[in-house]
Amino acid sequence: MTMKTIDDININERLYQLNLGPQHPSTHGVLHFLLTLDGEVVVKAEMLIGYTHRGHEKMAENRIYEQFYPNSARMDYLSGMIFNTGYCEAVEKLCGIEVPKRARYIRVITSELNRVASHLLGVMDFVMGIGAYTPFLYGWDDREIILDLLETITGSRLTYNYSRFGGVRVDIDQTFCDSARRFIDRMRERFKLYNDLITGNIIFIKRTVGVGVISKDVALDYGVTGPTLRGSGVNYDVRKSEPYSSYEDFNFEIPTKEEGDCMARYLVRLAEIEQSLRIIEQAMNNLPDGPIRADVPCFITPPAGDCYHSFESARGAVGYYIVSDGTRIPYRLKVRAPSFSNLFVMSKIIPGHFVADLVAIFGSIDVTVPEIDR
Amino acid sequence: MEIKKSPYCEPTIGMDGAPAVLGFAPVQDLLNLARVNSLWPITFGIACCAIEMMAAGMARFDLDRFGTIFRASPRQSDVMVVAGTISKKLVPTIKTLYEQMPGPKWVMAMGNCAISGGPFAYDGQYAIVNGTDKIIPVDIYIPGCPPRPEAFIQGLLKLQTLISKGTIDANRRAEKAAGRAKK
Amino acid sequence: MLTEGQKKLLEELKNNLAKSVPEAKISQSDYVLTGYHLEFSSSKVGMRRVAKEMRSRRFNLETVTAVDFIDSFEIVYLYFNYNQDNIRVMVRIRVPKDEPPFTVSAVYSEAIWLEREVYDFFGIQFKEHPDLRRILNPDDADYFPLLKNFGKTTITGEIDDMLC
Repeated sequence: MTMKTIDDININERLYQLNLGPQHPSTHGVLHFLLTLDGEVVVKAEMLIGYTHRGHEKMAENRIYEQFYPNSARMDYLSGMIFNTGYCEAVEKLCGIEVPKRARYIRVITSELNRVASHLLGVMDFVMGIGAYTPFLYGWDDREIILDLLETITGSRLTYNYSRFGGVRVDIDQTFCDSARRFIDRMRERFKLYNDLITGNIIFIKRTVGVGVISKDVALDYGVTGPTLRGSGVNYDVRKSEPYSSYEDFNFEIPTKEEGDCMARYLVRLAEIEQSLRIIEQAMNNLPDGPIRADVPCFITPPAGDCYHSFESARGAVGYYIVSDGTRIPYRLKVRAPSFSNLFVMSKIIPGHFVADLVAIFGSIDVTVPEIDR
Repeated sequence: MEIKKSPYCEPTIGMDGAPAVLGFAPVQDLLNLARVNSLWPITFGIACCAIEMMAAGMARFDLDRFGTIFRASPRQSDVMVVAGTISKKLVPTIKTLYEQMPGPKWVMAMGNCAISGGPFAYDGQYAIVNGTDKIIPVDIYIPGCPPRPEAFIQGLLKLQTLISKGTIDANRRAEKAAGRAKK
Repeated sequence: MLTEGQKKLLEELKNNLAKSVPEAKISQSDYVLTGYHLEFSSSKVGMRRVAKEMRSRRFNLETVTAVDFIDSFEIVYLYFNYNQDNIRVMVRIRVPKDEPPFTVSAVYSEAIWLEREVYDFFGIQFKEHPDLRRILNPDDADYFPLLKNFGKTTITGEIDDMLC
């Protein structure tokens, strides 16, 4: 009598559905994967989103432009400063307001500090998802220094409300610049620690090299942007292709890798931290004097028309599309969230991988769920 | 420091079928001491406040010295920290998770959104529920947007004081109220 | 200031788009004020032809969205190319409320989710969409939140004009 093996059983009887989420310990937010599995291998992955939908776009139609500042930081709270600054720039574009140079440089410094903090969190969350808990603690410790720095000028640790139409709220002083320089020196020494702990680790290499490969064509077809796209070989960064807020004055590179796997995305993010430190140094060395805010009326009324402003957050290219009808309330405000498209590409690349690889791929793409749900 | 007994002072577990020794106050105090020093929260961060909750567990603020270990499964935890805005799509999830937790269990509503809707509550909001206590009974409210990790630790310490005073948890209070309403 | 490469690309695009959808109005716009270089507006649908044209020129779809102008919808597509000469093209069509356009998800896979979001917020049922379901709101919701006749669209609460 021959024994029946698993291959003899009909594929349709073998498949079963597994819910990964909405609550799961890879603390990336409330995201629900509906997986169809054949044993341990994923055959189909569907993402169900909307569990943190808060209605930002409808809220924008219910308040004046100034009252939307808090919303802008709470969409992607890990790059809150970048989103907040980007919203101010979008409205300034619509109104034709010229921002003074000192304010633009301060915006660059704070945005790049925010980017470093976000990359530290994103990389360490990815590594924790794979199973390494120690680098998580080290990375968050470095992040606390940045949060203290930004707290001295803004007052908050996470959801900043620092930029205003026409400039920034509070000026930075010499103690801020000295502390930032000390942080940059410390961070440069810490890279060696992270490389020793993580990058050369044989387990990490086996779990990330060749896993979750996003080819260039797939990435461009699905509208992927940010470090996820740069890990697949496309050299696109909004700061270089459409420079805003004086980014054209600074000397920095766009790290790109060709392989498109989890290791490539991780290395791109680490390299971006170094480039951000370079930008902060240059901005502080050449910080001009002058006013920090243009002369803008207290409650602005943009002219009728529309405008699209694109900028680079830690996760990819963000866009604010604002339609104004000439009143103090926006007629329509649409936010193009990079995590929305970055997440959708997972439904294309996950089939064929193990469930454990799904966690690694998801961590390496680094999404923030409230930004997807808005 | 004298800890005053609260008016809700009675055993936190139901006494039907339990050994009689558990009714003695010193035994209850010992059990409460054990509960206080090993509160295990469930990892249920929803939005921005979740990052501050994680920061409270990291090396700078260190929740581990209070005996907290974040557990992934609701079956192994006794505190649920609702950190973030509750949208209407999330309500069945929260209810299921809460019912899966074994008693005695406590709930901490962290952040303005979990207390009352926060910055997203306005006349015309269609997407969120204005506060956790509309869904599940809440013991501790931690205000802030987001509250600092120190504020989260203060909330945790307040919960510890509540438990060591022998206060009955909100879940049991709700059950008893429902039982009284049925009669 | 536009580079030579950008000017050449703009001219080619204008000619090709005019050929594929003759009844459209194509004009260059001030990039500094609006954020896009070329504006294509039409009241007749023809989105699949436009999408195929943009795809052949290696443009990427940045976003799809809609605006509710009480008696009609304006559906907006934004295209951008990541290469050397960066051009952003804004494609907008104004359609009556009961005549939705065809989906472009056969050309750009990203549009599957983007158009689902537009359906979820406005109720626009793109024709021949492979998977048109709600995405952000609960599945049993019976409202389309971003329509102007849903909820409120006014300033709620007082603004203290004296605090300037």
